[in-house]
Order: sequence, then structure tokens, then C-alpha cells
Amino acid sequence: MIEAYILHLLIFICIYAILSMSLNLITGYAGMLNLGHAAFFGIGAYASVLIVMAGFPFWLGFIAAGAIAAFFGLLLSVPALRLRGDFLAIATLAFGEIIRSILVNWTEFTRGPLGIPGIPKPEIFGIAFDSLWMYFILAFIIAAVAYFVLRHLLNSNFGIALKAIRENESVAASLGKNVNLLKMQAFVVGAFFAGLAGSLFAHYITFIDPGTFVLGETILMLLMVALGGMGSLEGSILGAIILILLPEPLRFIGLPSAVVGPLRQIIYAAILIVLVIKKPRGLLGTQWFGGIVSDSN
Amino acid sequence: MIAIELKGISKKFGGVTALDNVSFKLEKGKTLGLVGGNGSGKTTLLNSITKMVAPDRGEVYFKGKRIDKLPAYRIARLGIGRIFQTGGVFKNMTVLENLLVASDGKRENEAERILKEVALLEKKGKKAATLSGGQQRLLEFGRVMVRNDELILLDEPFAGVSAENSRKIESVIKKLQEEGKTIILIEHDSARIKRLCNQIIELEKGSIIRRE
Repeated sequence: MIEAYILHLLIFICIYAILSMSLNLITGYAGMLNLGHAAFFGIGAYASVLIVMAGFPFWLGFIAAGAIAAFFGLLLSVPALRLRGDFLAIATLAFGEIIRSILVNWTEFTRGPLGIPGIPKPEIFGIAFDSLWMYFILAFIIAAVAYFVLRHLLNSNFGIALKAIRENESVAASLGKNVNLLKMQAFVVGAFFAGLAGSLFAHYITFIDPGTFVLGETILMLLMVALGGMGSLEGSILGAIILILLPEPLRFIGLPSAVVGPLRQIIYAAILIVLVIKKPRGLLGTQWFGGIVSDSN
Repeated sequence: MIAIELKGISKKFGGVTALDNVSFKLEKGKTLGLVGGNGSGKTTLLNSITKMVAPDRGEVYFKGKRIDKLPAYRIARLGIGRIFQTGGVFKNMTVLENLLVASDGKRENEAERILKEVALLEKKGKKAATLSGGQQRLLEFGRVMVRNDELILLDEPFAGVSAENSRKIESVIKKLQEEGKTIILIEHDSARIKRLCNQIIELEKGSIIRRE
């Protein structure tokens, strides 16, 4: 029982670590405040589920989840080329809302607010990931691969160039950096990994509905990034661990469930307030969270 | 060989004329001093070359090729580098990272060699924000060197810099001149202009009023 509970938390940490790392690439490294990240998460979840439930193998649904989310990342990068700072944030917020509306209203495809139940557990080349242990291993491997791939990317010229456009686009361009292309790449790669996390989430919970992929989720991911530190992948993992575990004690103090939900939100909000006052760079971060909103160019 | 040529460059901001029909040629390996009061259009002139602002009219040629229709990053890749009046370094990045952005794939030891030349090797892991104004300027020179730019645009590189760092900057400029780089230098100190420049243009209200 306790083992199952711990495994469940570990699986969530893996999924949210992928989400916060991928958001960190867009927001922490490239400096584009993205309030639509949950939409990529949702697109990946729905894409994977619909493909697998149409009879295709899990690995195909999983890859497609990333690819389709990446395609939407490319779409969202188009306004990102023209907007900066809080204007871009509003555009990404609208994008998240559009995706949520589509998931709610395109009922033939998504079953709308009813959601999709009975999602099968993954099976890859005959290996069934139907136990908690097996699922944890799968989630851990994918999170680890995501970490190493992202770390490799962000330590390369690509990562340094992203930081440069975060700091000052004009100066980056004067050094030969194609700012538009870099922003597009950041959105595509970030959305790809968020899509993979969506697939991992959907096949674990085995039920998805549009209400899961809303602004509140993005805020949680942003909080993980901000707490761990902008521009630090390890920080994002740490942020995911802390924010997944932190509200858990609430389960054991016997509060009615109607109180526990709002209390979680209050805790998250309180952490954010303490964070911006006491440790604006986050635990392992390199730059101030507010710096990307107030455009310093 | 003509390194850079401007033909009839004009630029207005709102109703204010920043540049009015500015034309000049500069031979490869020469240094042009750009002088004039505040608001005379010196920085706008550099911005028109690197496309940080798009001129309203006129043409820019680099080594005979027209470049004013290209985006800023393509112009930079042709070998045109610049040092900004303010805000040219990436302050939240380390000194080494500031150089690696410019070097694009060149190895770290190449970057370190250049850092040594601009006397910043000990600072390589420090954030650029911790450097003094003069050291930040030297770091920008380092970027121009690592990129091996042929045309280098310097926007008041000595402004607010200590005497010691000014000497370092001047020796870096002389070294770039010895290497045959073409330079446009915005500077107020006339003695320094005389020391460093082969050619002088004075701007007033966006027009050239003197050529030497």
C-alpha cells in the first residue's frame, strides 16, 4: 500500500519533471513566458490516446504525441516572433484557452467534457507496463532520456544562443544569431517533450478530460521552473519533486476533500510569494523570474 | 578595394530627421572617425549598416555587394561586427559564454586565447554583470576578434572607461588595424581620433558637414 503510494508519487515526479524541464527551455532559457504549456501537455495526451485507441501500438502514439505537440509549438512560435514579454504571455494564454475550447467542443473526436475513459496501459514490443513498478521504470527512463537530451542541447551552441536572445535580441542578431529560427526551435523542442509527458500521463491515469490541461496546470509547471531556478534543468527536476511532494501531507491530516483542493492552490500561491521575495532566482537558478516579464531590451 | 559604401542613406523617426542623404566610401583596412554632437545621427548610421534600424532610403554595399535588404543576422554573418554604446554584453551569462555565443562552434581554447588577449581570462567563469564598464567593452572586443569580423563598428568604446582600460582598448584597436580590419569609430576625443583614424566625417542633424 505504501509502496504503491510512493511509486505513484515517483511517476508523477517523472512526468512533471519532463514538463518543467521543457517549459524551462522555452521560458527559463529562451526567456519567453509561456502560459500555454499545459496545452502541449493536453495535445500530447489526446493525440496518444486517440491513436492508441484507434488500434495503433503505444510507441507510435507516444512518438506522435510529441510530434503533434511540436507542430502546435511551431504554430505558437509564429506570434512569438512578433511579441515579447507580457504581450507574448497573453498570446500563449489565449493559445491554451483555444486548445481547451477545442478539446471541450469537438465532441465527436474528444467526447468533450465527458473525457476519455478506459485508456489502455502501454505495451512496447510485448512488454506490458501495467504494474506500478513497470510504469515507474518506463516513466523514469523517459524522464532520464529527456534530461540528457535537453542537457546536451542546452549546453551546446543552441542553449547559449537561446540565453543570448533572452538577454538581448538585437545584440544576439548582431552576432549572427537567427533570432526567429531560435525561438521557433525553442517552442518546437519544448512542446515536443511536453507532448511526450502528456502521453505518459494519459496512459498512466487511464482517463483524460479537458479540465486537466488548463491554466492552473501551466501555473504549477511555471512554479516548478521558478522554484528550481530559471535556466537550470536540475532546478526544474528539484522544483517538480518539491511541488509534487509538498501538498501530500494534507492527505493525512483528515481534512475534507473539499478543503484539500483549494488548500493546495493556497500553498502554491504562498510559495510563489515567498519565492519572489526571498529567492527570486530560484533554488538553483541563474536569473530573476521577473526579468523576462519586464522587457529589459 | 572598397569595404563599405553608403549611398544616400536617409532615416526619419516620426518627424525627426536622423540621417539625411548620407553617402561615403571606406577602403578596406582604413579607419573612419565619425564625430558630431549628441543626436547628430552617428549611432543611427551604424544601426543602418547592421540593420538594427532599416533606412527609409538609400543603399548599403559591403565589399561591393548590396546588403541593406538582408536581415540583421545575415549582415552579421558577412563579417560585420559591432560594439554597442550600452548594453552590448549579456550580463546574466558568464564571460566565457559571452564569447562562445559569438564563436559559434569554435572550441573553448580558442575562446580562452582571445580572453587572454583582452585580459579577461581570470574572469571567464564570472557573470558579465560583475565586470567594470571597460572590461565589458573589452569583452565585446573579444567577441569581434573571435568572430574575425572584417568590418568593425565601434560606438564610443572609450565612454566611461578608466584610463587603464582605455589604454588596453586603444591597443586592441591598433592590433585590429594591423590585422587589416576596416573600422568605423564614433569618438568625441579629437586627439584620439587623430591618432586612430585615416578619415573623418562630421555629422550634424543627420547630414555630413565635414570630410577629412
